[in-house]
Amino acid sequence: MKLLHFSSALLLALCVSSAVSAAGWGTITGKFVVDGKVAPPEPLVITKDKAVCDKNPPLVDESLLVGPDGGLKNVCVWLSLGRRDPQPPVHASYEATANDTIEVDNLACAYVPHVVVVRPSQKVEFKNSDPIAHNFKVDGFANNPFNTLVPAGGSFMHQFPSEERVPMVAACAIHPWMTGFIVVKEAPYVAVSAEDGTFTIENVPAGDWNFQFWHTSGGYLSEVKMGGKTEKDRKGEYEIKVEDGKATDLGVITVAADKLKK
Amino acid sequence: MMRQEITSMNAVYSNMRRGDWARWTLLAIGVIATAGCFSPAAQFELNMIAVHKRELESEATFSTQYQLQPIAEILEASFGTPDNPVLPPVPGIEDVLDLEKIKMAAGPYGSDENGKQRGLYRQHCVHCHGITGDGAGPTAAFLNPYPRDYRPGKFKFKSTASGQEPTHQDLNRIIRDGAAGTAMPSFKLLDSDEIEALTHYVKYLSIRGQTELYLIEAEFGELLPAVVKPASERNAEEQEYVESLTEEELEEEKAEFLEEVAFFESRENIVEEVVGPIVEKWMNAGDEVTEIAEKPEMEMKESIAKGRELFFSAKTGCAGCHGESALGDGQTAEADFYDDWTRFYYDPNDPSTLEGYLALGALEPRKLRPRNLRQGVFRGGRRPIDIFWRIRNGIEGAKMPAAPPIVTDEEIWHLVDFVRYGLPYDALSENEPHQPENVRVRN
Ligand code: HEC
Ligand code: HEC
Repeated sequence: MKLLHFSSALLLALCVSSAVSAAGWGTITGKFVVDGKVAPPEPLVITKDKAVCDKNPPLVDESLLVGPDGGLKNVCVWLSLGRRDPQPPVHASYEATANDTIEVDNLACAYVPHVVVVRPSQKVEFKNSDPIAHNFKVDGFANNPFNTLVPAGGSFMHQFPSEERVPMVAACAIHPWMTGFIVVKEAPYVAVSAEDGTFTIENVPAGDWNFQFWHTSGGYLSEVKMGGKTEKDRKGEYEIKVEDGKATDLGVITVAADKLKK
Repeated sequence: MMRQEITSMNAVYSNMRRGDWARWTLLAIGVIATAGCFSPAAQFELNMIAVHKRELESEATFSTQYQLQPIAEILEASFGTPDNPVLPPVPGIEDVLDLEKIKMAAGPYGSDENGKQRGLYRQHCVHCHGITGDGAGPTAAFLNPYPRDYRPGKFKFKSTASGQEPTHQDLNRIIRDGAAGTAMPSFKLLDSDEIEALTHYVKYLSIRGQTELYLIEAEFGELLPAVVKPASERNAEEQEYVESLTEEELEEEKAEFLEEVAFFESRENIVEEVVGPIVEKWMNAGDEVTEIAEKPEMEMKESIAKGRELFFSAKTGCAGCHGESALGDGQTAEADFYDDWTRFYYDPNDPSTLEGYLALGALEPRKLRPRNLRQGVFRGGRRPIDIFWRIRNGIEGAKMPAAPPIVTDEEIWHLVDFVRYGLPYDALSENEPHQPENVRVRN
């Protein structure tokens, strides 16, 4: 109670920042491609509830998925701020989704989708469409961890009030091969690359921003080739210029296969 | 004086990092000798396991001057030493921590110059839970489960949900009653005053440990010290990184780094950003107690039958872990069944890093087991309400999940009746062949 000022100061900071408007808005697109050979994903070892979990084709390790033309799936791209920087202005187009519910399902003993993105204002529905019980054990850093069982066919709602530096990990204590990721960011400028490696972030405020590239196989992408130039950053942070009314196409962003840890 | 002590402490860290224990001891003795204390001054050692983990994650080593030393200074300024505890100036902290009580538990065993009792923690707890509360005292390696490491602030047996701190009452109760079936003894024979003092001391060590972890993992651990370190302290990756920067980038990164370090020279910033939010959670624990609908009147036989049905249903999933016979054998095939305190440093899918942690004093990983419910032993207390809380909220850190919200309180009461009275009592049953006790010889 006496410490109310922490949270009220935070609220104030949020209100002030979202009231700021930008000098225009632009779009960022790109495509992550792996350079080099990557082994096909390994089938997971299913130790129990085989009737439900042991399917054909078998469940595979989803940490490193590469499409037919080398496209890298599940690279998370988010606008990265210095630790005490104000939040960037938020485009009106994001207001409509500010209170959405994002769904994560248990489907045949895998999390679908494998990576989800939420904002603190949004809710997550943790679902279980399987005929057996699962549990969601979610560990982050800024948010309280939880571990809740979800009955067959059941679901529950949860809200993550704080932004997380890196994606939170979801796991099932009953079926230990299951993992998923939850990206919680205050600013909505976040994307996860699709099966073919492409991603788009719309309506980013014009300006020079840092974006972080993070992949489910081993964290930050500390070395990439963009626009023919090799760039390195230990925290996977790269500067991207956004101009009003324009699309910044980063083109093909190449990641060397040997830089992707399994 | 203070400066001097800290410099010698640094020498201690760098030696620990090389695992050179003999020299560490010599140095420690040196520190004590130069400080000229009449009794060996106990020290809070830095959480090197957390430091090491952060170093592996960021592929960089902490700088002694800009990271380890400031962390140690902040901790000492905020919490004092094992002999001389102090409290950080967080508004309202006195509602959570009572310094007088903490002093009763702190220090070497005996009484102070005014005849006041001191040293309860070192008398009763330290050989299992360790000076810093790391759960790795000299006896720890021989126990299963291991004693609690208080530093992450996570506790199993409490009336609050996962992710919430335990209440004062929860900790007080487990100290008084112990944890049946584990090495954690009951301290019923102590005065209630003494148990109060120990409860405050456990909270003090937890809050201190949480502060330390936060500084290591989030604040200082976020910094990449390569740019401020002399070349001789950089590892190969760091050296390569520094070389890849232009002069201008290097200066920029240096300035940013130093700005962050300077931020924590202010006590106000430390209180606001680090300690305050941690203390606040402890303050609120009392409001977070899980409320429970009263147990409905029902024939015990009927309640047990309902509980049995629930236990084996896909609505609760209990049998998935506790097994079809409730012997706790539902998970024996799983390679990855370790508690959170172990998972902090041990990844069964990548055991290659384990050696490095063991060298820093981490305990040999031991598998967790879902409880064999036929033995009738309830670690967190056998009152119906204790077991209700366990089932409703799960057991934090030990993988047991909270029951789903759609399971009603009434249904939980049936489960309580079932696990208390519905299973054949079988004291000698085993849920898996005894693993040879993994006893590591500790120095
Ligand atoms: C002989 C070793 C031993 C001694 C002595 C001992 N403990 Fe423990 N303690 C343990 C073990 C083992 C556990 C873990 C039990 C478990 O995980 O089920 C534990 C757990 C705890 C917990 C955590 C309970 C929870 O909910 O997670 C607290 C608090 C605690 N001990 C306090 C104390 C205090 C205070 C003292 C001294 C008065 C003390 N212990 C003395 C072995 C010991
Ligand atoms: C994901 C696996 C898992 C599931 C599902 C699970 N448990 Fe547990 N349970 C455990 C583990 C592990 C422990 C032991 C924790 C420890 O070491 O302290 C435990 C301990 C217990 C205890 C002992 C508590 C004590 O104080 O000693 C009870 C009672 C219990 N579980 C009941 C249940 C019931 C009822 C359900 C279903 C609603 C359930 N469990 C579901 C893993 C599980």
